[in-house]
Amino acid sequence: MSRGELGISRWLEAHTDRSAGLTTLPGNMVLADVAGTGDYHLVLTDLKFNQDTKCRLKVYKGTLLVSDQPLPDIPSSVVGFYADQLEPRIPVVAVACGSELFAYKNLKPFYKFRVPFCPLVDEEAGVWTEVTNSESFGADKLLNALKAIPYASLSARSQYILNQTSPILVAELLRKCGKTMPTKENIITCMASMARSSRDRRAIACPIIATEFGSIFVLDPQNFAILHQANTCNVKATPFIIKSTGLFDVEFRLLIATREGHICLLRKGWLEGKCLIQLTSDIVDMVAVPGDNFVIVATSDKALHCYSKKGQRLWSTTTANLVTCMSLVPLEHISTCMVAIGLKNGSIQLYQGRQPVDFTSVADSPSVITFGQLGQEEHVMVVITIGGSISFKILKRTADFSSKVQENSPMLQSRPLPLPKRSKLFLEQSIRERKNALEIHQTFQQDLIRLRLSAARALVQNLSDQSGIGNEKEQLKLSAQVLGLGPKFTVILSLENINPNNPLVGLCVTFHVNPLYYVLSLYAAKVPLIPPSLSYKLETKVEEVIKEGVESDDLPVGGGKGNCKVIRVFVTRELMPVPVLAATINMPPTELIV
Amino acid sequence: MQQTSVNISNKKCPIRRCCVLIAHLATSVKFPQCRAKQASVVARATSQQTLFKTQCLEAIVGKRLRKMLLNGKALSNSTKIGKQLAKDVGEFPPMEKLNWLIHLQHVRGEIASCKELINGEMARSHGKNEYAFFKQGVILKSQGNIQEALDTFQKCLKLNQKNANILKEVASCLYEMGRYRLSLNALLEAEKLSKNPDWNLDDLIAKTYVKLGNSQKAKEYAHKSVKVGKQEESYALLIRLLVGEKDFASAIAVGNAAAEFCPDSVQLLTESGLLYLKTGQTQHAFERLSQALALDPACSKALLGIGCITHRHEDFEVALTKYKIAVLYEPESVALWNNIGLCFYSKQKYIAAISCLKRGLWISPLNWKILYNLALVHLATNQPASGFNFACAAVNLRPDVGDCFALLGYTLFELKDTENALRALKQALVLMPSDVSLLANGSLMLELLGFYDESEDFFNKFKVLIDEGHQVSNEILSLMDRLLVVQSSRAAEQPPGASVENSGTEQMKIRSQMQEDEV
Repeated sequence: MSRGELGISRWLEAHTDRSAGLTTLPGNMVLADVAGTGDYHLVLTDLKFNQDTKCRLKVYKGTLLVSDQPLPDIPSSVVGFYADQLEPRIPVVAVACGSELFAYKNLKPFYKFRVPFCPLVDEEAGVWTEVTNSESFGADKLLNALKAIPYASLSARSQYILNQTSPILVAELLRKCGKTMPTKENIITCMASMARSSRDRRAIACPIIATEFGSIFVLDPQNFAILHQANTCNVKATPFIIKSTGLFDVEFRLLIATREGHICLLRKGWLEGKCLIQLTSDIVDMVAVPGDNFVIVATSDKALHCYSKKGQRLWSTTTANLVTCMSLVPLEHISTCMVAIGLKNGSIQLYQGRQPVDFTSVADSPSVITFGQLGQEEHVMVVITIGGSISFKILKRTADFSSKVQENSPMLQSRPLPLPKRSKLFLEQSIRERKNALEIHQTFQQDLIRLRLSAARALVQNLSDQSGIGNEKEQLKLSAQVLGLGPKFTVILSLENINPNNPLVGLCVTFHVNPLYYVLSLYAAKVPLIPPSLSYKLETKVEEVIKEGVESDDLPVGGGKGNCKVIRVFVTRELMPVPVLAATINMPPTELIV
Repeated sequence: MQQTSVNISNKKCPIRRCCVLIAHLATSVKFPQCRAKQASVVARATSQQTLFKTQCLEAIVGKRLRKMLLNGKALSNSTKIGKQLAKDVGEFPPMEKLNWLIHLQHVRGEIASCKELINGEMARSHGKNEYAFFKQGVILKSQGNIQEALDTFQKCLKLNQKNANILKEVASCLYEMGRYRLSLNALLEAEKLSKNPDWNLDDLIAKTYVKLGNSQKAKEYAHKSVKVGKQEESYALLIRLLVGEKDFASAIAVGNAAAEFCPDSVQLLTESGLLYLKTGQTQHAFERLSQALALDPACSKALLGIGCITHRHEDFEVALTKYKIAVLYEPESVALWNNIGLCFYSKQKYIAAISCLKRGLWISPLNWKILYNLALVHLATNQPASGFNFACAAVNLRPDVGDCFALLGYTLFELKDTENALRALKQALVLMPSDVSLLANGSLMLELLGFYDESEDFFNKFKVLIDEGHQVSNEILSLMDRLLVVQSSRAAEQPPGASVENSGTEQMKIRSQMQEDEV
């Protein structure tokens, strides 16, 4: 690829700390000038999922950790925005935890906003009003009333009460908080910010909050009043990623990727978003390319799709590996906007349009990628991996992204077909055939006919000479065993019923021998009922009649006369002329002790 | 600043957490020169008056506290309720608190940690978190654990009977398990529940109907799905259904609509291109296939289609280059090797042709078209004995195709087995009574064998067909003209091999076309 042609990477590996131990998710890392000195810092949240350790808000100046504060809950998103015009310009960093938004300025918490509670379901509200008004609302009555309401639509308190096993605990809870109405929190799932009236880099911007129940709030940056509230979509849609373009005061478009695989559009003045794009697989990440108003979406089936602002798909391509995160890489000096795509195998691909133009790599799967100004350096990519390492990469100022032509079809066409060479033998054979086609054909046909004939013969032979085989139709199997050295033998016949369901009845066994050679103790026998899947054993004594001069007959086997040293067995059904099964037992020669 | 913190603690802030926040703010300022500015920034942030000068610290704090209490609508009633509510929030964490995290970890493929999180959330919610169940089912399903996934979805359904999405997942699990009837029931139930039209649901129903063999209903739902979603998948399904009914005109119309809504779908473009090819609209087919190739130069199906079109225009070099690219991407395609072989045959490189066709035969030993073509090439190389074997195999595979019998007849004629050659010829004529090249060849063969009357009979039939306006190549026409001369003079001296081959070439073109459509 282009990197090979360039020889060297376009990225400077500024710093990598593999033992940073950071757990950060997409949307939880911003580059902001939090000190107001023009020296951009890296602000991120470090998530801890176990109960006892708290998540932390960390600020890096360059590669140094300068601030580290605990957060009350697991943060879902972080945004940085300018709230006012005061000098020095210091942005607010807002962290969403649960249903609350904590605003920090100068690395100090200064404001807390709580998303308005969801209204309770009518039934539940009714129940709780009764509880608050009457003193003697029993615990049992409350439980029964709550059980009638669909569990998922209840408030957290009611759910908690329903999960209590002992009625004493319920009564206690009722006494403790029975005087107030329960609340239903609206959890913040993602955030974005949107410039208010100017496109300037440091313009005042409004934070936008999207919640679990699909509400979207645009807040006033100064007093956190709700400027605009809307629903994501008319169908059930849970916001997952939200991106904004435009200006709040003029015209804006909010793009909301949902967990259901839709991308919804919300424009200024709309109270409800419209479903713009439906995807067939889960959305992993989404970026909105400014200027063109394109949306680039990575899905969990290793695909990248690009949609126009009207929701038409412009292109799709597949990635080599699962995408874990994406980031915009705006390069103003060459007026392009690329997209960095973090892949599960630890490589980061840079796409310009649908073409990958560059790649760089990190230790393991990247979890978050951010690109922008850090410190005084304008083009820095910060990558935090799922394994917890942090790396800083600086884009070289000399980096050239002019696209190179890939291997095109004329090169492919010139490749020869992968055909094997014709061997000399093949050519000789074909020459021979050309000369003597007729003879070859005739010989071939003759041999073919001969082959068929011998096959048919073998078949006939086989049909007449059934030994130890079964009859599929009658579900009967016969096997024979010859014991002894001779001249006295014991033949044990074993008749097996293969049918697993029905018993076999009314069978007879007849032995057929040449009396000149053999004398049997039993020539015919009735077989009793054979239960399904069981077998019946039948025994007969055989004595060979030894005469002088007969020995020479032992030798020809399978000739025209047939072997006389055989016992034929017929299994017949009563009143049926054709035997159900016929078998031939080849008797071993008597080993006479001389 | 010192004073600020004292003030706050004296006032006994009603919300303890806010109080802590402010105290933290006040004590953690380290640089003295920042203090004044700090205070002013804070003041501006909290008040809406932009020209708020630095005032005494006490006033600021007072305002701030009021603001804190008024924060959010729910808090605006009274201080007391606000306090209670704050307690409620802390005490009962909502069930869906970490649903976003479950989803994130799932889509990023961090399955192990996602499962852990789901288990944690499940324990926290006493096994009642519908979303966690749902995700667990989705993960199990993606891991191929369909039975367990089904169980999970069914548990999930118990929690919420009204969720069409869960029903949809249950149905798709049943579908995977091959229990289409049950799947359909679940889907129809889901259809009843969902208020909004859902293309995905319709698509699933259509697919289930296909499996149940109800193509009419399937088509209906596929139509619906296309109408609602305009999705690539549903278009593809509808086209497939229409092609199955041999309704090519409608299929092409759907293909056009699909190409309009999914202009970048290589698969749909190729599909509609091949449909055009099937109906003989070469120009449209070429356009569509070129579009597909522009998007994906490595699309072997489109390359094969384009190659076939150029092949038919007897532009063998171009066709061959297309096939060569395609075969790099799809080295196991029988149709490709067949067509490459025919290209070589047309260029009279017989050995290469045999190599390619034999490779095709090796991939698919029971492909009668390859066998037929191999027989033709062997005839061309004067190897009728091998040709006979291939023709014989082709006849055994497809005793309903006249061409195979005709070819068998020609090989037998070459092998001087007159009796059987004539039998094969007659059988071929029964199967395709109005094939021009068969009649031409038959007439020639009978002439050479000395059956003059029958030869003339064939010739007359041929004449009738020509008069009816059947298209024939000039080669055959000139050949027949020569035959006419011979017949009239009864001086039978004609090189037989050439004629058989010529008609063979003609038929081969038909073959390559048929091969194409099958792909």
